[in-house]
Amino acid sequence: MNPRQPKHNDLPSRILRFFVTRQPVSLDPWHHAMLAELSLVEGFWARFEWALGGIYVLAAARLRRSAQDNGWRLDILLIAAYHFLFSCVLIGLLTWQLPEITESWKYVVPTLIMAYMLAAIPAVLGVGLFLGDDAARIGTVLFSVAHALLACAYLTRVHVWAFPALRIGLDVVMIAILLRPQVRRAFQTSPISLHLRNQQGAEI
Amino acid sequence: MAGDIRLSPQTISLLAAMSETPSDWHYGYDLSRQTELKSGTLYPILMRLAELGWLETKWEHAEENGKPRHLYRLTAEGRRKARAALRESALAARTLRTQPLRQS
Repeated sequence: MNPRQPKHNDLPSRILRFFVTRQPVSLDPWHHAMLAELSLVEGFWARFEWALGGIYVLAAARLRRSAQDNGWRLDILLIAAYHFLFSCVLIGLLTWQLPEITESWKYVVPTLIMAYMLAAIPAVLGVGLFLGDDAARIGTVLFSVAHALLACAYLTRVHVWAFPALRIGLDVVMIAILLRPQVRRAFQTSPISLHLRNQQGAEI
Repeated sequence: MAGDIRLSPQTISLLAAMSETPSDWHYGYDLSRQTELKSGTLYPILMRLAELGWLETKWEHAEENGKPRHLYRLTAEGRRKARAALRESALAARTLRTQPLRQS
């Protein structure tokens, strides 16, 4: 096979083409540019790496475009998604442990309800952030502070430090973002001013 | 002065590569090999530079396979900004090399 012969239908091309065809038309030239260059990249892994990079670019551009179109802040969107994912993991862990329960369900059910409600707190905060609720912003800051302190306490008791340290780092970053003046302003609702007018239309 | 935007080392490296032959058109893959930037890093930079008006783009049919390829070239403004950015970057590197470490 001629090494310079372009490869248009191998796995990396098909993966990248799959994502390119699902992108908004406005970013078309860039998507097709990456796809066109892929046909000249030599070696399967180099091609695969090129395709993965292309998918990352497409996903990031799409996310940014959606955030702009809907007036969302990307950083807040990511924090909301992180909290949603956090709840999903907690609820998944709780559900995974259900078959291990040996106690009578009469005693277990109230505890389970409480545990599920606690596990849902990050998701509720995430929805609040998504909706631009300032109480959710403050709640998320408090939640992150509590979570970081718990992770610090956990760090002093175990020798595995990488994951808790990463979580503490994430908490610190989220707190810093949520306390930035422009973020605080974005969450504040504009005051409603009421005016009384008489029958002639003049302001009282 | 490169302007009021902050340029990453990767952007500087891309501008340096393109400034070697500023009037030539460049392919994305060639730029990626020249700068050792992955596609996930290279294309966001190209998109940003094009948005800023530092870069012009066009499509051309490649000799290898007759398929269209996207080409990139610095605009006059891009060349000016690139020269300024490269000068600033070289100056910063020289200052770092020559400045003695501050005693605490």
